[in-house]
Amino acid sequence: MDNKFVIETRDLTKAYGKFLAVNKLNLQIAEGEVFGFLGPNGAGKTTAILMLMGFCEPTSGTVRVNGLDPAREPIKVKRSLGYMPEKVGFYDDLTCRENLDFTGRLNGLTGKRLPERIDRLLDMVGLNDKADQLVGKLSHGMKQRLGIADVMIKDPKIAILDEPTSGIDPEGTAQVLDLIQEMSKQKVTVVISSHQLHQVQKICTRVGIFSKGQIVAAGSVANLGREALRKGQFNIIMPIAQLSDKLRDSISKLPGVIDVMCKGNSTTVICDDNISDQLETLVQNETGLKVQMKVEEFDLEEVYMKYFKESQP
Amino acid sequence: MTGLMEIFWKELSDNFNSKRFVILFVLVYLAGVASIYIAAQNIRSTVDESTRFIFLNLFIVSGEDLPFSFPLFMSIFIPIIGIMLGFDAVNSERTSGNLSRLLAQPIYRDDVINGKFLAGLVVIAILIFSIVTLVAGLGLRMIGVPPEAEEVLRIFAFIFVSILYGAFWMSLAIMFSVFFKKTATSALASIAIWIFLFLFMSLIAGLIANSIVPINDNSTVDEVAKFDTVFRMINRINPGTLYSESIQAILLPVMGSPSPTMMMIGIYSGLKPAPLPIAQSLLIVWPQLVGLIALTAICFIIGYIKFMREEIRST
Amino acid sequence: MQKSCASGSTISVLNDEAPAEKIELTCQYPVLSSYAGINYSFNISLQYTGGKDPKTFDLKATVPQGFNYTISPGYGEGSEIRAIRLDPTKAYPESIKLNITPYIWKIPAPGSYPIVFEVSSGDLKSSIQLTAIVTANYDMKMSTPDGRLNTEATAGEEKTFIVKLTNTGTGDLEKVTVESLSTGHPSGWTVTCKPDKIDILKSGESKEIQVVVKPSDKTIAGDYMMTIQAEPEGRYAFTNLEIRVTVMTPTIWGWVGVGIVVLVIIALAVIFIRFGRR
Repeated sequence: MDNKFVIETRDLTKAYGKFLAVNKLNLQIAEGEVFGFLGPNGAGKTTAILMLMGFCEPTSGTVRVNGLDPAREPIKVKRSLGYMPEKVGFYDDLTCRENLDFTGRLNGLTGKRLPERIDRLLDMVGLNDKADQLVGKLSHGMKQRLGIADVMIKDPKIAILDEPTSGIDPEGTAQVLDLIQEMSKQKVTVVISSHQLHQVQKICTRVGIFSKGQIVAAGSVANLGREALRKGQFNIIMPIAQLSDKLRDSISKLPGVIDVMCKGNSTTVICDDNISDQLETLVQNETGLKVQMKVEEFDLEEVYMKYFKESQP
Repeated sequence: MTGLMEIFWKELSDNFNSKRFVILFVLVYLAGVASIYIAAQNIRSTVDESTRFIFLNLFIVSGEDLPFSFPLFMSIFIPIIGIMLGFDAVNSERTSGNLSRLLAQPIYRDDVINGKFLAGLVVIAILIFSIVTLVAGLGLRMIGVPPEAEEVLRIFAFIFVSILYGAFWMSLAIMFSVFFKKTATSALASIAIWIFLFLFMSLIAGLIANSIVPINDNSTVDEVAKFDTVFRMINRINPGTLYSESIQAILLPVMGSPSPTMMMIGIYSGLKPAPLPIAQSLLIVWPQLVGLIALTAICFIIGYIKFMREEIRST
Repeated sequence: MQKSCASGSTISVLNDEAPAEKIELTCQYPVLSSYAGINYSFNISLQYTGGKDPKTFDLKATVPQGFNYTISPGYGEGSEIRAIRLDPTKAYPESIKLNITPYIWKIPAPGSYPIVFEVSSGDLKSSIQLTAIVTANYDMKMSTPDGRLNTEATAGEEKTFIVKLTNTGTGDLEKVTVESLSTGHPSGWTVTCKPDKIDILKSGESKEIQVVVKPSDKTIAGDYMMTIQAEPEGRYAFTNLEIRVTVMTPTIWGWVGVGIVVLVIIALAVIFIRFGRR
């Protein structure tokens, strides 16, 4: 991660009357990141995105996208900024190709480059067989994928996807998530907002957890977990009631182990990596017992739920 | 500029592809051809050698059993066309989820509303220009009397005023499409205004005028004239009145000042005014034209400002 | 149809025999005048006096060439009679009718035709001079050579058609004016007849007249009625002919009109194709 921030906000605030939809948001997103806005509905994710897009003016604070103010220089900002709104819509009476063609033209793309690009993108999102079908006949998941093609047509540096997976089936979700990773591979900085944590967890390099218009926590999923629970990412639970000091010592010396705790009939090893194989070998060598290892992966849900609970009044 | 032009072309293409538009197109053509056919059948009873503008009469004459002249039919169809082109301009983009996607592209926000207005204007212009020239061509074929140069100019003036009138209704409908989130609501609002102006405006104007200048059977000509002035001033709030007054002055140059009451007095006093030159006719309707332009601009600007200041949310 | 003479002159021829046996013929209207081709009917009274017994008289008339005559009883319809039985004791005269009929195939020339009506019975004779005056018949008929009463014209362009004027009367007509009055055609049109004056049109003669009609260039296409009239000087023999003129759109404006319509349709088609997606 380098220090060049493509999106930067400082004390960004949006007030609707007395209600603060976004409250002093400070955000720094570096180039190449996949950043997740995480939070329950109404936490201010969409409002924050609208201000990034320049769709609504901040009450106070500043936004910089590629170093530019989206409210002052919207055209320059939008040239390299792709956006897929929540519940993305297309012209139902146009085909996929025509819809993409229109977006391409709005971005000043013309000539032979445009149809080639459209074909490539439709191929990427797996809609090449639907290219000449009316959008009105596509399923929701397909429209979502078409939305990604629509974002990519302008070859953006940054892509902001608002709830890209809401309301589609698991298969569709998986496809969309794959596509987002594909975008990331193509050196696009991606910001997605979601309240579905598993997905964010899978693809985001960093997440910001929104609550009441503020980011209550930000960082990589691992760091967040550590920060939130002061524990590693994995808990490896062994059905051993007592550990010898020697064994405890050797376990502690294994790479990535953070803590070893004995509780009731079992011992829990908290560690950064999944070292269950090494642990198993070690325990077998020391005690001659072959024990069953139960690996618990930390997931963001816990982190999220924790913050979500904290933010509840 | 790219954004404006792209939206303009797309809207134009949308309009020419939408079924409702094609249906209306066909309807307008049929009605136009019918009205000109009736006019050609009846024109001989109304004109003679002394009639100055025979060709123009083609646009004025209506049948005895079917009082359906071409301008009357235009004054009914133009608001429908305008409303149809504008009522869902912005809110349909919003409800379909296209608006925020559209505005995420590197275009100015007003490109959307300007492009739509421009495309609608061009569609109205194409429709009106083609129907009038079509009707003029058919009329020429049927009556065989070519228009004079001045008549051609007057027909172009008629086309221009008709486009302007269509632009008013479209900008009103676009304004409602910005204010109302549902397309049905904005369509109904536009139609309600049209019906009110079309059916009740002159009634109300008459009531108000009568309370200001009461007239009865014993009133003097001066009083009647004064009543007429007041009545017309109030009625001119209605863009339909402005339109019909303008086309009356343009197509019926013998009537100096467009007023039915004054014309009646003119007939009683044996006054038969000579046709005015076109420059004079245009001068007479200049206030009406300015009024129409102003009303169009006001509606458009209100919609424009509202649209520009609005937050763009996808839901 | 009988024309009355002012005086009822009586011409009688008396028999000079001793007992004044005589047959007297009287006609109240001995000179009849009529248009050619019309029958003349003389009412003649016969009064036989001086005889003892009723006598039968032969009836005979001498008529000019070209006429036929019949004699019938004075009252009521009856068959043709050639003789009449008269009673001298009767105080009132017997009445007969002499009908003079010109040949239907030959209309007699105008003039005065003397007729002698004779009654005779043996030596007892009597005759009466009657006169049938044939007056001239002045009449004209206008028609077209082919019988068509309609023609086509183009606004602003001259069109010539021919009407035939025939003197159907028995008299000659002089100085016949042929024209179309301004009320006989739509205003703004010019209608000229060639010739517009015929010096003399003899009985039975026909003359063809060229009528040149030029509808004004502002004439709206359609049907118009036009009246051509002819009138001789000094005679009542007015005639007229109504012609239906179908004014066609001038070819050039017709094509211009069609051209405009075609252009508009092509332009619309181009627009719809240009913007049509599917």
